[in-house]
Amino acid sequence: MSTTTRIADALASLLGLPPSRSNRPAAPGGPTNVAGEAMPAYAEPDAAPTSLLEIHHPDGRMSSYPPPERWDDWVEWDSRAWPDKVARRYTLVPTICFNCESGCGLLAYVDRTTLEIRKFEGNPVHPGSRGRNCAKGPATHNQTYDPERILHPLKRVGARGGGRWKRVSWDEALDDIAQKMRESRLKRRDGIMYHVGRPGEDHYTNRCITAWGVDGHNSHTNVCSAAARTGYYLWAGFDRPSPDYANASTILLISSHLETGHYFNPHAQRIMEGIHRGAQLIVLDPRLSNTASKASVWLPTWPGSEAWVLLAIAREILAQGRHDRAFMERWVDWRGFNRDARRSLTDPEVLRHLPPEGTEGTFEQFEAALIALYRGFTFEVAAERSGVDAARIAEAAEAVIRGGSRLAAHNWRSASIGNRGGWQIVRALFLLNVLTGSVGTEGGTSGSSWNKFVPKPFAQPPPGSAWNELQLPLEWPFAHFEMSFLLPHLMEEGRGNVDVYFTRVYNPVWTNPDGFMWIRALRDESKFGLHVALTPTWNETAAFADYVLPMGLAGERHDLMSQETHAGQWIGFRQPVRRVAMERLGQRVDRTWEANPGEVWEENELWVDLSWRMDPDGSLGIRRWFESPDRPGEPITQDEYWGWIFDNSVPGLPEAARAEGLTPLQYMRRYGAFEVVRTNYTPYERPVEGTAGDDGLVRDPAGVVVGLDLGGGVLRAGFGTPSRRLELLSSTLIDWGWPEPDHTVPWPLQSHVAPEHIDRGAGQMLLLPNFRLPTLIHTRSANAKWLYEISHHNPAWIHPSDAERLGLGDGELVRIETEIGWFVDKVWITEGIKPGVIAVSHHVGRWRLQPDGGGNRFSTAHATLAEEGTRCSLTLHGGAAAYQTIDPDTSRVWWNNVGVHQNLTHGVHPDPVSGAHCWLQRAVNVRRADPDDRYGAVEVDVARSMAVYREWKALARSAEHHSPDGTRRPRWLKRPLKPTAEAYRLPSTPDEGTS
Amino acid sequence: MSLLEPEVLARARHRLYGLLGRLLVEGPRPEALALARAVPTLAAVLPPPDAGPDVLDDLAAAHYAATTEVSPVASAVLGEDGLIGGPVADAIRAAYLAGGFHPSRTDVAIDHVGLQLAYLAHLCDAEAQAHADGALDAVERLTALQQGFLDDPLARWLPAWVVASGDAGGPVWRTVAELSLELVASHRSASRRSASRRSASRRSASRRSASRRSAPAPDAAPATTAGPGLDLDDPDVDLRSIATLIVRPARSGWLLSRTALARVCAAAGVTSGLGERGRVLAGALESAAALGQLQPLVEALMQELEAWQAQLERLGTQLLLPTEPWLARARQTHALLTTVRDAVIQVR
Ligand code: SF4
Repeated sequence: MSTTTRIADALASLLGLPPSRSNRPAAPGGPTNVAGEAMPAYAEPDAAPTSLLEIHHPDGRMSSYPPPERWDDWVEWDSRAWPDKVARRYTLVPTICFNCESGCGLLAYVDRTTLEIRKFEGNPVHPGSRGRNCAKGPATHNQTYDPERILHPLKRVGARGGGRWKRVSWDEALDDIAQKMRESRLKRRDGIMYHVGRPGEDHYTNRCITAWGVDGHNSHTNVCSAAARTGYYLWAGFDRPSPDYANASTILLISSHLETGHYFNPHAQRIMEGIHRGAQLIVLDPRLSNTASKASVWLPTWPGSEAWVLLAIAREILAQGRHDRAFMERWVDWRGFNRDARRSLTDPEVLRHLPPEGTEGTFEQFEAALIALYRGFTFEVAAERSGVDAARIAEAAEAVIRGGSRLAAHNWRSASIGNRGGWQIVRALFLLNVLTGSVGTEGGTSGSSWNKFVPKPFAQPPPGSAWNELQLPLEWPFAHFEMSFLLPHLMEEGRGNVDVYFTRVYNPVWTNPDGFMWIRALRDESKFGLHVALTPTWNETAAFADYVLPMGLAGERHDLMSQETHAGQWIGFRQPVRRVAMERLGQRVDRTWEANPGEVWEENELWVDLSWRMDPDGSLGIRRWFESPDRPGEPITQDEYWGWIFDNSVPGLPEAARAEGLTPLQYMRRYGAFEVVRTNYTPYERPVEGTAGDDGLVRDPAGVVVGLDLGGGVLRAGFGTPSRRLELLSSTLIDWGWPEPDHTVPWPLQSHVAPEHIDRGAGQMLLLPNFRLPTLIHTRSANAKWLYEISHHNPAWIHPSDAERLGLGDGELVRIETEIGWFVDKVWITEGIKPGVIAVSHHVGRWRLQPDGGGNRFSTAHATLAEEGTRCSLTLHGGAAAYQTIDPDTSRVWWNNVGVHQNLTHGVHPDPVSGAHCWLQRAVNVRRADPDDRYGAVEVDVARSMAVYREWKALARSAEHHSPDGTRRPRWLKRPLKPTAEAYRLPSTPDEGTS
Repeated sequence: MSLLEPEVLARARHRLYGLLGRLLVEGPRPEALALARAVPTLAAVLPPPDAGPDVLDDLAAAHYAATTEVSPVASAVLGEDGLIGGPVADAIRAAYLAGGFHPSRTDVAIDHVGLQLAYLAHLCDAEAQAHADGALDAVERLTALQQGFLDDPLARWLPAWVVASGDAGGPVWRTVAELSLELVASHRSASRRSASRRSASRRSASRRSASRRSAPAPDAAPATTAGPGLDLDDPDVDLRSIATLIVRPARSGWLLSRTALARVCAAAGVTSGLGERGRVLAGALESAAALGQLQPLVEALMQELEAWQAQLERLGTQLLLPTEPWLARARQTHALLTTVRDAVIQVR
């Protein structure tokens, strides 16, 4: 057939069809231009630039920033036109950074004409971050305009992990997923699992999971902060500290907060503020981090020995009589100690100070017992255990004593999550706050919940009645929280499966230890029926998904955030900045995806749609939780949801909004943050109403304990523990089968990497694998080109003495063998690491399975996976390279080395109490690499993986054998979503309670 | 109603451009597939409506492969540096603006083939309306815009892309690409014919015609701006420079697809490596040199290039498209490869 005929036929064939949607041009529509296109044209300027505001605040706030009253129409010179002065007009829209848990404020500069986001800077009115950001905040721009980001729902074609995808419509994806969720929910209550990496929001998704009526919340906490949370919770009923650094006299940090710590930017700026005001900085870290280099006293302790040092400081405080007796007498549960100590402690020197059994005794008796208890922790003993000079420990002790009630202390993950018994390191740390009376004081250390504000939604679904054994198995009744990193191991033991599995900004294949176990499990459809990866960018786990659904970034979604960044309370509002800009400019936007690039959705709208389709007729009782409060029977919109919360749940916000002639929602859209409370010191002293019962506790009309009687009818809120006081001795641990004295009171527990367990003579070393790079964040920053240009590889830090012993030169390949496998890295010889320790950073070593896809090519190496029986391997083929995309920067990639993926070689180490994965590894052999060894090569025997898992599981004490009351877990301990009391009952058959 | 009526023809073009553009951008969506089955040429290669999900999955995967293996973007083909974006994309954006077209799709480059076809759909739609309204000025302006865009960029780059992508996406996507090119070519020829008719009638109507020039002949439009420009006697020129030249279509006159590249490597027995085409080719040339396989590798490249030239020439002749500037560059590249091959033989 001739071309002319073919074309005539083709044209004629379409004429007979009625006009329909499908006849539209492929791309009609409004004036948008984002993501993936060359940079936009800009409108002609018609105004002169505006001056920045200059106010010199007395505290650490910024002094120079765009004044909020000019945000709607901000004009400034175009940096790219330099040296010409070309003015550009923007509307500035606040949002919240999504790159770490800190929740810093961002200000998006949205071009008023093209609606392009030109840049992200800090939001000066955000009370937590005060206009500042770390490098990761502005890099949100890279992530938004990542030329390789996922812009459409993708469904796998062929086998899982085969790397073949097709685009599907949102309707198709939602219908299929919702149908499978419905089927699962009809037959069981533990078949849907939402596995969240970083929530980055407070409550919205948890409310959805509760509405689905399943026990399905799984988090990353057990590879992160579980041990620290356990330590703090047992002491005080809050699970994280909130130090008031800016007002402290002494700051005591375990790990590198200034550069990489928890709440990095908000904390770092206040630590600097404190130092500028004269605070002393003490840092415990085996590595000379940037933070350690700024310290007045650096204590390079052998990992796991920190509790020895801290207790030596405690002993010194007690020995000098510098402890805060008044505070301790009022708030430490010394009566409980006097009463229960005999159930645990055996040291006659301690026991002799205790009152007769069954009597309460006196504070003085407790005090004497306490001094006796810690008498052995001399500086010399601590020095021997930690490898740090006794004089330096004494110097630290003096600084702590001088700090008194202004001691701001924090343990970021490092030591607590590194070691078996890491939770006891945290208890030893908080003991210093208790002894100095620096709990909740100005310049002291508060509890996280005192400085974080989470408003309530308009209706909260009731707690569920199910218990998912794959999340909280009986062996770890104290786990904080779900034993997420053991999921494949538990499945391998045949303990259950998941029908619908959501990974949300979560990449267990890469982040968790023992990734090959994850890969094998994810490939197995009998274990994970359907795997849906919700992610803005490709990652190693998404490669094994059935659906990859593109989710919004910091400027593309609604969320509410609050964090304990300092002594006050605030809320921050993350919002889709282009949507807000479009609305400001008079355009109507019904759904966020209309303003987002491609078909990127925001999760909140996804959950509404998905839940609606899961329960189309409302018969499951799910749909009603997603209905509009104002328009019954209709799905709720984001404006309605947040509008209700800001109208009703945030004290002071409606008044502040009214003062500016705005609704509360308009106020939050305009400023992006609201300060709820300026300072919230010593909230445990808050008076409460009611009458105390015989047990001295005050209950509300519903029977919930709300406070205690301090004596003489002085009713106070107190702490979140069973006694409402600070529990030096944990009766809960005694009751649940851990009566040993090194567990029940703050005490050093022997770490699995204590010097006794590392035979350095035989070539063994301690592998420190969990220090962070300040410019990267787990797997989320992999599509930020600026960040990868700054840091992209992770050499093995090794002390010159060890390098000499091993005959290694700088940059040479070393093979590091762990309990389950080995990997090959390059060495970096430095005195900044303790002898005997080899340290390899987290964050880098990313890989992708397709040469040209499945990960950004500037941050990942193309890799192949192989399996032979139980032996699994990863081979890298080169690294980063320049390549062509719509972003000219990708052709300017100058680096090649993107690091090695060490976590694959880590056996799982569930702490028998906290359930935390103890990250430090015994490097059973460290030696020069074999001639055939290639950089980045990894090999693991998953048979060894299971053996190591079983060794650690054997250390646990199951609720089945130790529960004192027939329940699975002490009910007062925290869970992200607490089910009903009934669900806590121990099952009489393995399946009971899960269906 | 007949295709001889300008309004009807414009409407039909609007629909066909819209459909083809949509298929190229979105892949096999059900709505578009249903519509495509009405087009005989497409119906002949498409799976039947009751095809199972596996067949549709394969079709979607083939689309993904076709649009990732050979970039369907004008700037990557015409741009001096072979990169996406830059002056070529800017010019296309400017053309869209001139035609009142604001693409809302944000997931593909502005100069993606599907968007370019969508732009023509938009112009044809407007033209049909103008005919219906009797607005002859508007008709003239719109057809001039169409003609300009068909000449530049479409006629300049689409033939090269269609030949190169023929390797990648299997029969369905090859047919969609070919049909798109045929539509562009037939529309362009028709539009040039009517332009010259209009111009002739103006000339006779106006005494001033002798002093006026008609629009430049589209065949004279430059297809590429630079030749290979590689001096093999220059000591800085190495195998990498040759690879870089070859993968820049604007300089080499050749859009080398990944599949073709893999064939070349296989013919010379060197591994094809992974990653970006320039690196793969450079790596292949270097390993071939190390293994003493450079001659077969260069000869395999020449063979691929000859096949490319033949296909492009055939298309140019058949569809009256300006492929000669491409072929001229390709001949220079061929000569360069011949010199390299001869030098290798001499050394041996
Ligand atoms: S500290 Fe965290 S939230 Fe703040 S700017 Fe950096 S990455 Fe974003």
